[in-house]
Amino acid sequence: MTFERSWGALAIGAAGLVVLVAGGAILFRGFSPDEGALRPAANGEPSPDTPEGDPTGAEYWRYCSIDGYLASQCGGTVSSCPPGTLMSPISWIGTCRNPQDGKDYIVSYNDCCGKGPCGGVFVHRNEGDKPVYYAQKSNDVGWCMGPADAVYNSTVSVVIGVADGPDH
Amino acid sequence: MTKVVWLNHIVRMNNIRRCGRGRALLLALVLSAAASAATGGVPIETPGRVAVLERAFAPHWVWVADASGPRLALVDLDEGKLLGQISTGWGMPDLAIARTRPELYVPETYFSRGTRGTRTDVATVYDARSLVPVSEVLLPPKRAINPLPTGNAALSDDDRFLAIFNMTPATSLSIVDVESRSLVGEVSTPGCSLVYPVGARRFATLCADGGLLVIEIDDAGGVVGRIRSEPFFDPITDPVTEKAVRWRDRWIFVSFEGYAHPVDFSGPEPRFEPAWSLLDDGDREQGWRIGGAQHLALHAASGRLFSLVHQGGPDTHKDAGREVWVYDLSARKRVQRIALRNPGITWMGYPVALGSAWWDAFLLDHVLPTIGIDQIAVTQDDEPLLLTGAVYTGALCVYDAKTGELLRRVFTGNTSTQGFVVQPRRTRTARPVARP
Repeated sequence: MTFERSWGALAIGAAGLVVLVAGGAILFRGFSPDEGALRPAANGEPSPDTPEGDPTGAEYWRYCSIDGYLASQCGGTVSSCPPGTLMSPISWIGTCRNPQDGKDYIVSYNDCCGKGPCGGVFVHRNEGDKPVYYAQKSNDVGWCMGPADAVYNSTVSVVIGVADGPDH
Repeated sequence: MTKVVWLNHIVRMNNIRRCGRGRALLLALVLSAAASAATGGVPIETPGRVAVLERAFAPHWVWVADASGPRLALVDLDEGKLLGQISTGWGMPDLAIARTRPELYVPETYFSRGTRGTRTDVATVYDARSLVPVSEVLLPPKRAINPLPTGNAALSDDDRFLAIFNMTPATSLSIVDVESRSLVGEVSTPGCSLVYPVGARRFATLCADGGLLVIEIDDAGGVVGRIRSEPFFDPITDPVTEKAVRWRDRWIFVSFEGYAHPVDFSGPEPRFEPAWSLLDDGDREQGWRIGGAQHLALHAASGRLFSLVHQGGPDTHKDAGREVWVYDLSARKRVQRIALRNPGITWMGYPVALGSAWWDAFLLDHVLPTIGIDQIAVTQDDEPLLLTGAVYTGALCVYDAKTGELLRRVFTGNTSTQGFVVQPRRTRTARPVARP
């Protein structure tokens, strides 16, 4: 057997092994008793296994009116800014429905400031968004101002109340 | 080492130090010319030359904003090439173009430590041919930072005063006399935002109650009048977007639901003309809506309004568009539909310079997905061009605005497109500029 042929046989063998392992894994998962089960929700949140409950994805329920980089993907969390940044004390607000309990919540979208744009996951949703002249409900206003007057980094989504008024 | 390079080397290494710069340069030129004549090769050039634009303005030159730069790129839509750029500091690049002087005015924001530190806002004056900053005016460090391509700065109709929208979130306007290069005042605009020029000494702002606040200033830039109008739209149920377009003395605002609200500023107080719908019942049944980051354009001479539209539901007022619908403003009637094409691509953060070969067009039209168009603009000359851009690419599509035919794609060098500033129609002949 030449050198080239032996390498070829090795490659074919390796490929076959990969197919077997992958197939086995698929079969095993197919018979797993946990298939399709969702992790339980925490603190009234939807299950993190659903798009509406996954804070790393654009469909997360609190992000209904966000326009920015997700702080949770930049070193922070859904409600805390990344290390070393400043959270803007003023913000715009949205009203988002939590599919877990069916309630509408007021969500404050505070910007995190003082470091360059995060560059991670950028989510742009406009439920209830208003133009800049209606600033408190506009996701186009750059809120890194006042005590947090610096460059924009990312945005948090903080639940600050339950919406119960007609204007929400 | 070739003969020409060897001669250059001799000049640089020996003669410059002994003969002084002027004599050395002369000697270099003589030797280079002789060498070139002797060899028939490429003429020897002198380092240090910087290009200057052939003229200050051209109708088909357009400025394209890219906030990821941040920069403004000047593009020749006929030649399909980048002519130059202006770096604009933090935030969305903005620009006001003088009609009577070869000057550009750019509000800019800088932090002393890059992303933090002491904030400095300036209105920088650029020469329109060299693109060199020739002057700057220090501003209150509070100009509004937002992604809007319009409404953050406005030049008075006589090119004298530049008004810049501030937000802290208290709202105001900084007033700059661009002729004397000085800040002449700050005007509070409580409850009202943005700025639209409505005359030589008047600026309009949009208010949260659905009305307007019109500020009138005198020749010194001081406030001499304030007119607060009644609401002309409902900001809760159907707000107008900020991306209004001007038609002579009118500004045309369009609401989320597709209603045009013309406002006539020719009189002492704004006059609100009846709103009319850009969409008929059939359009609405099919889900057509207005939308986009810069969804309106207007060709003033012909009275044609261009509206970017898409099919979608509520809250899609910033979604990318698929078609441009053209309206005769006098008749208040749609006269044309233009289906839009893919302008280009940015790959891994780098703009891809696709050419005009048939396979490039095939790739963009039939292989790559068309995500949609975010901005449109129309040049103001008698042979207007419609241009379209998108946040996912720095490239543009250029159409004949009269026929809707795609003419070419233009590579701007931008990573992303966030807004257009077209050349205003010249109201007077620009002052001639001596060539350097």
